[in-house]
Amino acid sequence: MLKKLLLSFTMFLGMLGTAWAQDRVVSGRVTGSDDNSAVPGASVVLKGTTQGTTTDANGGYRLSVSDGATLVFSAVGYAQQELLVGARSTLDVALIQNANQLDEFVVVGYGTQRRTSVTGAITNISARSIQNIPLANLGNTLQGFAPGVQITNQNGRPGAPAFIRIRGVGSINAGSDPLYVVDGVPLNPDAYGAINPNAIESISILKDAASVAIFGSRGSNGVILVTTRRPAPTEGPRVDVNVRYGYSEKTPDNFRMMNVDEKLRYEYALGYANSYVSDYLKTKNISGIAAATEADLQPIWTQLRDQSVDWFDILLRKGKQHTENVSVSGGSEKLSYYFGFQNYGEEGINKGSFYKRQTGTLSLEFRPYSWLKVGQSTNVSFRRESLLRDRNNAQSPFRAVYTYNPYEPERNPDESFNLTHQGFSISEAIENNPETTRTLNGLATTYVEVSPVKNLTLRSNLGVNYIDYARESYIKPGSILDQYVGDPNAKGSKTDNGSGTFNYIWTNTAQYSLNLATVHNLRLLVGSEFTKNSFKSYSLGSKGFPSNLVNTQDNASTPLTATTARSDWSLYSLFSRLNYDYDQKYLLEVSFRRDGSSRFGRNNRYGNFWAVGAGWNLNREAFLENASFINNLKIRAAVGTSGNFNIGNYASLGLYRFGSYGLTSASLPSQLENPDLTWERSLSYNLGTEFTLFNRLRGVVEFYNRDTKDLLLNVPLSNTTGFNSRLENVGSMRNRGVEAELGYDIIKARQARGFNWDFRVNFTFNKNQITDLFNDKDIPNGVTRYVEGQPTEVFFLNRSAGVDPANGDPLYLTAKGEVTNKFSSGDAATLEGKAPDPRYYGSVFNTFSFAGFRLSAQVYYSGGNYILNSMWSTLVSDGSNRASAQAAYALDYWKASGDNTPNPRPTNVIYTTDRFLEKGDFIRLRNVSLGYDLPKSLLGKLRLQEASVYVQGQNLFYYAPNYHGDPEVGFGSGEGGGNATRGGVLSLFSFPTTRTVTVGVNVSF
Amino acid sequence: MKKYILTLAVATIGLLQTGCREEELELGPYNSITLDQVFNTQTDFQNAVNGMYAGFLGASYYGGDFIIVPDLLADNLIINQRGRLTNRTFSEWIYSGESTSGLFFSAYGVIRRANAVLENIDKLPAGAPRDNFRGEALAVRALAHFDLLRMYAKAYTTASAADLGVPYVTSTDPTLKPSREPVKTGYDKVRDDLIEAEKLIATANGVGRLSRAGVNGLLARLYLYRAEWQAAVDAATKTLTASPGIGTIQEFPSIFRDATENGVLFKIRVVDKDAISVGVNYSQASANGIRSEYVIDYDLFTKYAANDVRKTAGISTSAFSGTPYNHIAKYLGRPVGNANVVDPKVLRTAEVLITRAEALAQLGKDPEALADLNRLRQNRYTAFDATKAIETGPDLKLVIDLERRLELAFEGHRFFDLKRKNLSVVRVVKYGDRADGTGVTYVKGTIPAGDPRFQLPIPQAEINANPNVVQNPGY
Repeated sequence: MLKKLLLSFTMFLGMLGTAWAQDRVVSGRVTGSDDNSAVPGASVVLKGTTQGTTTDANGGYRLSVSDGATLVFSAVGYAQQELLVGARSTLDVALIQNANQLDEFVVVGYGTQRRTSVTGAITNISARSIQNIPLANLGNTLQGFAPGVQITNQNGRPGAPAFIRIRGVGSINAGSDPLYVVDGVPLNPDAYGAINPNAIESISILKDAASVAIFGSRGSNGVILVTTRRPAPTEGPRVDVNVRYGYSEKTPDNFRMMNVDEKLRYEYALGYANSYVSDYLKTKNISGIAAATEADLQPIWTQLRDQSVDWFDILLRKGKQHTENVSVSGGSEKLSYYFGFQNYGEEGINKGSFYKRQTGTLSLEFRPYSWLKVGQSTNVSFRRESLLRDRNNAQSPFRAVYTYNPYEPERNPDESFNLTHQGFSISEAIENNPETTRTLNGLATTYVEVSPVKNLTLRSNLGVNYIDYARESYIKPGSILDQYVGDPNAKGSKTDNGSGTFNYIWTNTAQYSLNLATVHNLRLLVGSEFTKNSFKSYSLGSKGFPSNLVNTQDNASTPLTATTARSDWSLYSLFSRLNYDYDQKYLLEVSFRRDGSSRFGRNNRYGNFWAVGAGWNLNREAFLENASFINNLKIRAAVGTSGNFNIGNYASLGLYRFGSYGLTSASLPSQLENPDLTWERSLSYNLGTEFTLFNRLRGVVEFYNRDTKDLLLNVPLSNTTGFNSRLENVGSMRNRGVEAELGYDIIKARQARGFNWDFRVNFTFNKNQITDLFNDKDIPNGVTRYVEGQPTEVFFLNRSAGVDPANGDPLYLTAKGEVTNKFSSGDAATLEGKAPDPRYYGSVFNTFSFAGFRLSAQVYYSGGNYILNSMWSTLVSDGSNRASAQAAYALDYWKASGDNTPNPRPTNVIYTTDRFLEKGDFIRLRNVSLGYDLPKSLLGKLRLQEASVYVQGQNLFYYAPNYHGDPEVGFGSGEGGGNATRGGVLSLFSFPTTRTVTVGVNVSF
Repeated sequence: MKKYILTLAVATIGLLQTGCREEELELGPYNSITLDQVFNTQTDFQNAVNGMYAGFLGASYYGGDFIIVPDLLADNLIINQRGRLTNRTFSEWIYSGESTSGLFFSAYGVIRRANAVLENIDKLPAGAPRDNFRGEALAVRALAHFDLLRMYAKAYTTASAADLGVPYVTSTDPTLKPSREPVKTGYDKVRDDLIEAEKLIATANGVGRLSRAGVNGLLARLYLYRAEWQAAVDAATKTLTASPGIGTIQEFPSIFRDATENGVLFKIRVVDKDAISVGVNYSQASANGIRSEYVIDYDLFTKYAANDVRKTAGISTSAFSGTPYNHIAKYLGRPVGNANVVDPKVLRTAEVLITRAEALAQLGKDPEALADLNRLRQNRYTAFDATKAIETGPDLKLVIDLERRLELAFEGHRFFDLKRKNLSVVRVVKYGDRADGTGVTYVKGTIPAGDPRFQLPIPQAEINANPNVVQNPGY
């Protein structure tokens, strides 16, 4: 039988596009009534059955029907329509935009659900709303689209990921990133890099216990469900071509740097002679700059002014980016297919920076019988990136653009690179110290679905993800860096490191639906899942390269390092969900999951997670029947638990590792045993309401409270035990907030291509608080700490008390709050309420459309957070960085008794205090775009199905009243900065945020 | 039919998966072993014993701080104004509970490794290897506690019965929060462990491990610190009988280049791969010459006679950026390999010899003491004339003290020698950091005998984590 099956499968492959109608076939196109644009992904179902299909990217569908059939059309954001097929073979439908999204289907864990019957907090984002956004990374793209989801770019590096925090920071040590699930397969965050953005159909963000409990020990930070395009029976092969070109540049600063004259005079006032000036003074026999008059210095100042340069121009550029995307999709009654290929390339705004990615997708679904589906989807992406040194030191190009002085040219008169006052040349380093990475990311999903009897579906799904990462870092022999850190007898060095991650996820589910007495709807899902993740890595290093021309390890004279590492984790789960509703009026949802994880101690290896949700669709009640202005009104509430399993793979075990003593082996105790180690657990409550009024105003308002306990913390041990600390489950935190999403159709068109004005706003307020720590003791963490009753990572700094007008001394507060001019690190204090996570954020959207034109704008706002602006501190510096370029603001310093200045007398010393702790509030014009859809009449003549052009700007403008520089601060700096797992604490000259302008064309035929 | 076969197949694999998968969740690491795998064979114990010695190598212990800090705290090293100005906390006596955790943690790390060997040792069959491992572990545990006592507690000779030492830890239980025991109790436990070790340990384990001669050398040091002179003499004699060589004039420079092991009883093995450069605390080579962090105190420099091999082998006078300095030469590195990498010397035979001389002098046995002293001097001064070296009484004691300082300078002894004798640290502040004694002098000159700063503060982290430990007075 298997042979037959295979044979059939092969035959079908060869007959792509051939109809296999048993009955007759009806086909058509689903459009939106507002602008006649295609509605992809609309569901077309034979009424009274589960048989059906979804529309393709062009809104097309094709379905086998029998006479007398009725088709039910539904799609995200549109009202459901039912049409009798009758004798027609073509059935086009214009769906009316539905403000309340009443009949939308949303993707939930291990299935889909009608939005009306959902009891949890889920935000659905259709691919349409994000498909033209020119960002390489999905996370960044989602910024501002969903309430309760706070997204901060790590930095401006092309393709850099984002910090995504769903309803606040949920952990201290175990990570706060959400779980990603692609087509039902829970994956490592990096795996979604395999997905072609154009192949994405929709994104669901699960935010509360009722929706995440089904993901158990991985759900507590929320879940992002990505659904890719599912092939659908269509009228024939359809080709989509999307191209996009654009450029990017650094977002401008809201402050000014000193110009060359100001800088030279500032140096003079501070008694600092730069190398040019001091050489000049020597030739003039002047003992030092203090002895020189302004007149003495004029000649050299003139010379320096004449040779001055703009380092922003030298090291930065307009980055270019391009995207080319082609997909072919189509199918027949029994087979559907989607092939897609995307080529994405970006030149960063810094010289030497690039990001290139190719992504291929192939999805097939084969339906040989009405009761059987088999499918396979394969996504492969390959990306290459250059990495520039993003560390707050002399090697960072992002620091150099600010700190190299304007009077320091890039090259010396003899064309050699100028080493500048930093003793380094970034221009040379970009050329001679290249660092590149390559990542191959493959994700394949195979499934079989059988429906042996009506309403019962068995499904087995196998997902496989492989990520192959390789990095090469080469310090060319003789380069300046090599002279500093290299071996003069073995010049040049090279490091090759990389890793391979293999992850497989095997999921088996059974689902049974039951309708009793027409009003009792029951749906039961049971399933099991096994996941295993294997990781291996290597690192090779050597020195002594004979030439710049070769850089593979075999050319080196001296090997330095060779290491490998491996680790695995596994997770085994059983889960179940029961949905019940009474006539779509009263809703009940119960889910349960039991997880066993290799990561936890023997005594706590298994955990049970559960959720209960209830909902009430009030608009279906008789007593509201007469309230015709209420189109939809639902109240829902849910409570449940979830976990966070993100800790080291073997953290519960007592371990010894091997090292060496002399040249012999030695075994060394490396980790203490904690057989009780287990996941962090969250208990969350959610209360929400969804409504649509007057067919115009729609909204969702939610209140939530998430208490996380058993936080993983390193509990201090007596050092006499030979260990500092042990990882234990102690500590609790709370995230409590309100989030809302409101939409209003300010102007609604009466006819197609008429004038529409749609206004949407979302808002989130989140309060994070640590509620319990081990022994009630603060845990220090550099410039921040963990303090009970305070938000996570509340700042802990010395307090500045301004400037003494009498003598210009910088003033500080002592621990007791008295003013002093003596800085003592012991006076540092917890700055209550001042923490790096935004307390509120959201977006305002306006969309205007008329006659095929569409103008839309997204304004993103965020605030309530504080950032330690170390960049600004470096640029003001009170003279301590007088050798480097400085901000013009530094000129405003105390000069004479009685001066009231923001900056003290330049003492040439600057301490880290709250003087540079700045409020991070900002508003940003995140996106503005103008598009035009060709009218149908023209499309017909051109034999096109759809065509549109657009121009769009990203991050065109920002306003940050209290912050110096771009306020979207993720990493302090990409390497180090101590903030690998969280963003927003401090700014250390990381890769700058960019603004981008792109033009694009989308054509389908 | 197909339908039911397929359904059955899908249902079966689904059900199969729900079967027992407990073993799939029992995953262990690839680069480590679990506790049940650590101590089984003789090789396992050998590895764990090696791990114990490797613990001494931390940058806060013999790999760095514990070698330089006792000289920084005393009057042997002065900061070079043109270095990186490191380690000022110790040289200026401004340490607090935040700055003294390194040694504390490293030493207890070693103790923990020794205790793990001792707790498991009975898994080995009785015999010489087991006795030897047990002896080594006891001796290592004793040495680490001895070092902690020297650093964090009052000297045995000045401590009252109530003065606190450090917790003497003999267990690997991670939940323990031990209290500090009296200094005298601590010294007694060190003695008991060493005596027990001396009975068990092999006579020849190589100088990278402790052997019987080494344990007796440590006992001699311990009895000297306890001012138990006869016991010191007896222990020293055992060492000197088994291992008499102290290194000749010709050999002496090679000791600090690791070109000979003569005269070394116990040192910690370092290879380039360990990335432990004990010499970086003293100086680094640069294109402008040796750049020292600390140079020899000029007053001490003048005490080295021109014919003293220790002057040329231990000190290197050369210019940095045009200015001459007297750099420390004991840690410049081996003839081949990374700069500043040498094996830290924990116990040299010369120390045992001069210890016996001191103890004999204290017992009034001047001729025997002089014989030991002269044996040292003959091996250090070229053309040494023993017939003219005939000191007795107080003079003899002074010369023994001087020779002890000259011999063991920069090897981590000076501060403890002053402390056990209840002497003040008195730096000669008329001299500066340059080779001719000019330049910038010390920031601080003196701490009087009995000053609380002779006892370094217990790390604050320990007090925070272990409420049973109390801080030393004065912090």
